[in-house]
Amino acid sequence: MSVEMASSSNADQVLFGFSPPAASAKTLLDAITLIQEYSIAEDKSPLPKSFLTLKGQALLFGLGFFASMDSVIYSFFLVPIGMFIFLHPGEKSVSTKLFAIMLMVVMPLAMSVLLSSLARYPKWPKGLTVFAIGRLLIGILTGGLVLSMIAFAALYLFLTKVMLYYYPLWQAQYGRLPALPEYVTFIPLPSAWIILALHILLPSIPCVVVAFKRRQIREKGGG
Amino acid sequence: MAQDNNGSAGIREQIMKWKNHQVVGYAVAYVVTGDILSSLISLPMSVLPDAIEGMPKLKFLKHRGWSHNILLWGALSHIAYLVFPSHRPLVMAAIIGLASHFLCDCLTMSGVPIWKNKVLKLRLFVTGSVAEYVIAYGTLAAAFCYRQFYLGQSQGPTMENAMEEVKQMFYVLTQPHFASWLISVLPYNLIACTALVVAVWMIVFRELFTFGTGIIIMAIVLFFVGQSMT
Repeated sequence: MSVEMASSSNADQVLFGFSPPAASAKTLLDAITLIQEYSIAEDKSPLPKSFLTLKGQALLFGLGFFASMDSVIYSFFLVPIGMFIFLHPGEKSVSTKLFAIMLMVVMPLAMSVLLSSLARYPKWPKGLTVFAIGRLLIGILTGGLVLSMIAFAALYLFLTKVMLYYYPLWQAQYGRLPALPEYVTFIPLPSAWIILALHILLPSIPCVVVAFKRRQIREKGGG
Repeated sequence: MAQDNNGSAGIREQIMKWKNHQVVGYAVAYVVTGDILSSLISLPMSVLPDAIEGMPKLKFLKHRGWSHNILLWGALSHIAYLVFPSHRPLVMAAIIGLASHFLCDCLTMSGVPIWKNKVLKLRLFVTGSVAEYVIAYGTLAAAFCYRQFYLGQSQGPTMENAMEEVKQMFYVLTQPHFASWLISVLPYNLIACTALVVAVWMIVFRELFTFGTGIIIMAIVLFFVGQSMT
């Protein structure tokens, strides 16, 4: 059923034939495309939340969760490199610091920018679009929190077990191993905190933006 | 062999295999220059006239039309030879690669246009036939035999020799003044930052994970290489 037909009909007719969450949707862009479709379908009147089936809810939550996973994995590797650049002794130029900061924040920041674009789509304060966006953002926040805590634990274990405990033992056993510079031992724990903070703070930006847009719609009195 | 120039299948059949052009081009360049590495420039040059015809905006070109004009390429080669006096071995290898393309095309049934309707063709073999492969790889074998045995260079090319030639070719690039000049003009940190942004844009907004990750790694490598050079 075409979008034109859907927008010109009432809510029940819109439901008929309109594509539910596609089983093939796997990524964040798929989820945003889906929300765009809901927004177009809600042009004239809000759609009921029941339209979003259990599978649809689970799908959007899961998409958000795994989109966070990508971001956490990239941050897991990039933030320690950024910390290494920052903690390395010596004079650092502005562009060097800029590169280090970008390495640390660029991935969750880009995801937040992309998600902030969702604020364009809600047309009704309690419509299907708002509900779908909520599911997606809850998934992203949950994924960011859970997975960055796992990353935190991994980096903390790396610091305590490998760098501070095992490496001195290996060094005593094999004399050729170089001594670790002192600043290297300060990399994992701050990196872990940064990853955790970034994945809680930055995904909350689109939440705030969407909430602000929703409030605007409510003040205007509808769509 | 198709005789028409209109159908794409006919054109495809008339084109000599690119790898055979490259084999002949490399062989002839190696015979003349005796330089294994400089001769590599002949590989792209020996298929350049055909590659020009394959460009999307020039699809209307007829096969072996002006892109195969010997006089035009001869004039361009002469200009290149005069303009780059310090890189003559390299230019020479490139010109030989180009010339080998016309030489091979001359040997085919359809030949090469010289001027208007004048076509030079020796009709030695049909394109795509076994004879084409025999001539190409025979030329390569003859070239190495000539260089290695007839001229008395009994030792084959070794990795040490190849590395030495690489060092000579990039001698200018390894000079301290060149490196310092490059660092002074190349804002490598900003290039790395830009690459990082592009990579993240690819990953987040286009879902090109592998490509984006590769660019992130390149950006980090560029950053550290730049840091180590300053």
